[in-house]
Amino acid sequence: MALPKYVQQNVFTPAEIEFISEYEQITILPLQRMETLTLLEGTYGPFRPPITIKVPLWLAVTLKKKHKCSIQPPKWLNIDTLKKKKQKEESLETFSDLPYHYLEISTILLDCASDDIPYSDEIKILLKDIQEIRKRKTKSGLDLINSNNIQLDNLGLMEINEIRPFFSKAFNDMRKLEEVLPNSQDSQTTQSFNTSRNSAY
Amino acid sequence: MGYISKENFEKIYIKIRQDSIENNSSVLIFVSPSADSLCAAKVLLTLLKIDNITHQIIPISGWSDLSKANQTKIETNEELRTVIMINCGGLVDLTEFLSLSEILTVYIIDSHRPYNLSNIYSTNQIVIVDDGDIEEDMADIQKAFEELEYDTDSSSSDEETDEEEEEEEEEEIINVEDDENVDTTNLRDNENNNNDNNRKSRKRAIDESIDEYQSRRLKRLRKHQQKQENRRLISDYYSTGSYYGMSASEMLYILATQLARSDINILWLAIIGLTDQYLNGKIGHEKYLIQAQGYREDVLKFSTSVINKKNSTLGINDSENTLSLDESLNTDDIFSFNTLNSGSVNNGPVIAAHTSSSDEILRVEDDYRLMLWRHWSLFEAMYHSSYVATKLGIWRQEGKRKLNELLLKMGFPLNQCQENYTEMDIELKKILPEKLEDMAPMFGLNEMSYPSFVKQHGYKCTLSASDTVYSLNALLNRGWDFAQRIATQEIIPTPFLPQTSSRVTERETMDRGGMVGQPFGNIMDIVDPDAIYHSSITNNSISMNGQSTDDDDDDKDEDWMEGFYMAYDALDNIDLMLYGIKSAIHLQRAIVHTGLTILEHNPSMLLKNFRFVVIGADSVRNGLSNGTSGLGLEDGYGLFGKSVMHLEQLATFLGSAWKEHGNRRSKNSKALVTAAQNDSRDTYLVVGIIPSGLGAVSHTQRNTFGLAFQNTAQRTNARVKHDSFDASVIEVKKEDLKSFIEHLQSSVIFNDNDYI
Repeated sequence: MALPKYVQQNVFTPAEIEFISEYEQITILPLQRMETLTLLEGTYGPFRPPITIKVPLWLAVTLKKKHKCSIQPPKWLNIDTLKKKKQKEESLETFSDLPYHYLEISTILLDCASDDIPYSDEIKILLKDIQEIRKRKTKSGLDLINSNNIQLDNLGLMEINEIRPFFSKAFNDMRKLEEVLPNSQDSQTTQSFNTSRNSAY
Repeated sequence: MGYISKENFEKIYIKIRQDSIENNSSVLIFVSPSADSLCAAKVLLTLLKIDNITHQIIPISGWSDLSKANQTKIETNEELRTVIMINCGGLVDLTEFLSLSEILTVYIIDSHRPYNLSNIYSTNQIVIVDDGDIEEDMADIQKAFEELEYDTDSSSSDEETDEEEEEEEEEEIINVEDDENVDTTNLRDNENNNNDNNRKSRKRAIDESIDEYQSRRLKRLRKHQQKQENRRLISDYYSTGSYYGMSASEMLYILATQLARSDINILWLAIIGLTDQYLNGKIGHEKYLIQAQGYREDVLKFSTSVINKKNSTLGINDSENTLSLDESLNTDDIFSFNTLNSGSVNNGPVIAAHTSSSDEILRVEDDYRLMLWRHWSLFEAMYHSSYVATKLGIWRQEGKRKLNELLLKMGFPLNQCQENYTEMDIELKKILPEKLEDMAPMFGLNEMSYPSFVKQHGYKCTLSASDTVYSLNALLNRGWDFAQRIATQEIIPTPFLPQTSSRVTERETMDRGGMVGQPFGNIMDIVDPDAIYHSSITNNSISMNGQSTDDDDDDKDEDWMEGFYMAYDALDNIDLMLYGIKSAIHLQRAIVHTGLTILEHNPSMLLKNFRFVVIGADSVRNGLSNGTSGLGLEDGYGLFGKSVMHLEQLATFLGSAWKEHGNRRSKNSKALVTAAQNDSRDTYLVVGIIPSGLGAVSHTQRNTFGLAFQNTAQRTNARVKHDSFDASVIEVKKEDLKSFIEHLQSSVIFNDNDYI
């Protein structure tokens, strides 16, 4: 991918992440009767309203834009569940368990299918809040970086992607420092001794 | 039959879809530049996109563009099966214009009337999407046309045989008479016997043939009369002048409804199309009211479904899709047509309390005949609207005084009125509707409001249908450059101009304070968008300057297409629409300023059938009586020579003004011909209009200038370009203008009965 080199390591662009997330399955309610779609990726259908069917997100969005289906929001994308998650975030130190692709899915759905999601405005606000709280936690988690392992449960892919360059570089640098550390004390004293001897003359 | 009636619109769509899917061919769409056509194109594209039908839009501004496109797009593509023409093509015989291959079908969705009859009746390859006019009114004309076209062969041959037979019969009769004369002298001749026999048989034959002859003669006479009748019908049909039928966007809305695919966005586009026709004087008030009524019901139908989904207040445990309307909604507000809400951005019936940021809600709301009054200051809106300005006579001192008086009587302090409307006192905004209704009639402004619609774009803004129409028209017609510049903040227009009486002082103040932050030299920079190219403000525009003198036609094409696409995007992008509104304001200032100057100095000529005005530097040379070159080129009237729409608006402004304040009894005030100079092409753009009254005119008049221009052009051999789809616009070479106008006087005939 043609990004500048310092960014290139281990990083996805947000667009790529969105693309990956579109493979998630989601339930739709077809509005029209359609035959089975045989696509490269898989076979979907037949679509018989009012029977709901599970399809990948990208197919759901395409059909939605053509007014051929209505999307049923996933179980976690409703106002009560999100409120509870937010409370959990605020009270606990660790991250609450939101789906791996929660950010991407919620953005896509709120964008094109906001009429299928009740209280969409409040949900937007809640999601933003949850995101903020999590960011705060990751920042405070910087203290916990050690060179051996790092464990951040329940972070979404997008969030991981944000902190990945910094964390991985910091990780590597710490390990390098630790390698040097046992020898560094000796070398430092000999060095200063030499320089002071040199300067004496 | 080459037309399709209202109930069957969906059939053509199904056919288009089938053609395209079976043969993998795309659909070609020709669109003419007007707000109505843009909306129609958008509706059509929405439908096509849902069905995954490939399509291509080609904007065309005139007949020459159409033939060019024909060469490049239609002739080269042999697989093409469908061509759709929006608001163009109905007026000429398309079989001559386009090269129709056998598999090609052309669909015409045109609001221009009268249709060219050969489009309807001569071939099945051209299908006119009919709004009821053809089916209901044109049965006689159809008969007449068919008889003339298809019966001429047989009837002419009939005539010939009739004549031959007639001659034979006459010969026979003469022969018989001769024989009888001869007979008396040649009684003893042997031949007489033969003659006798022949004579008898011939006599019997004669008796019969005389009867037949008589009846045949009568039949011939009747046929002849019928032909005359048909010819008269058809020439009447064409000569009553041009007018407008149902808007294209509405016809497509009906199509969408039949396909069960109409939704609130398509409805809004249809509303914009209707408002465009109404504001440009193409349809009368009655027609508008009938349509608006229909739309009102549709708006309510769509709105209730939106409300149901948006019932949201935090903490209420509603079930997700409550079907009952919120009790606090005032049903009276919804169903009364005349709720004029005080116009502040988020006010309105209680539905507003439940909106969310992604909402696009339509509401029924009255609108004023003040152009863009929500986006301007109230004073400016009144000053620059053609309704108020012409009724009050603002070019005179008395008129200006009246305007101030009106505002005073309504209790609006002048400084408030000159501020941006959104910043006006909220109390004033609330009382505005009733005050206007009370006070305005005292000044003759009886019909300030008319029923209309508004659309709310989330939390961003609320635009009325008329705002949208003005913005789109401005972007289409030379406003796009200005819009771009506002967007990039090169120009920061102020919302108001200080009110001054004389033209000279206005000019000064415009120099100083008209445009904040930019040192414009003279009024030309403000009035003529072209002049912005010449200013020293931006460097990259200098290269444009060089370009514009080279190849005018090409440049013009590219330029206006940019405007076309920008206007098309503005239908989705609300920011572009707002920029368009700002350019509309700018251009309206130019129009009104020019109009007021002309009205003040009145250099118009009252010719035999119409009034005539010239705008441009050579006005003196064209023999105007008042030598006032107050309309000289230094005032920068370049805009009008180039933009048809603005010239038409200026002409309407002047026409209404003269009609209102001129001599009512004189016949000359019936029509107005305006000519504007186009310096770069050395031509005059001439527009002929028949001004209707101000306010709610029930029916518009039919414009007969199209034919008149054509006749005059033929007679004078003037170098003209009669290119626009609007037949009453023509471009005449500078030198030929005088003789053109002189001959025009004899070509134009007005029927007194048409005058309403």
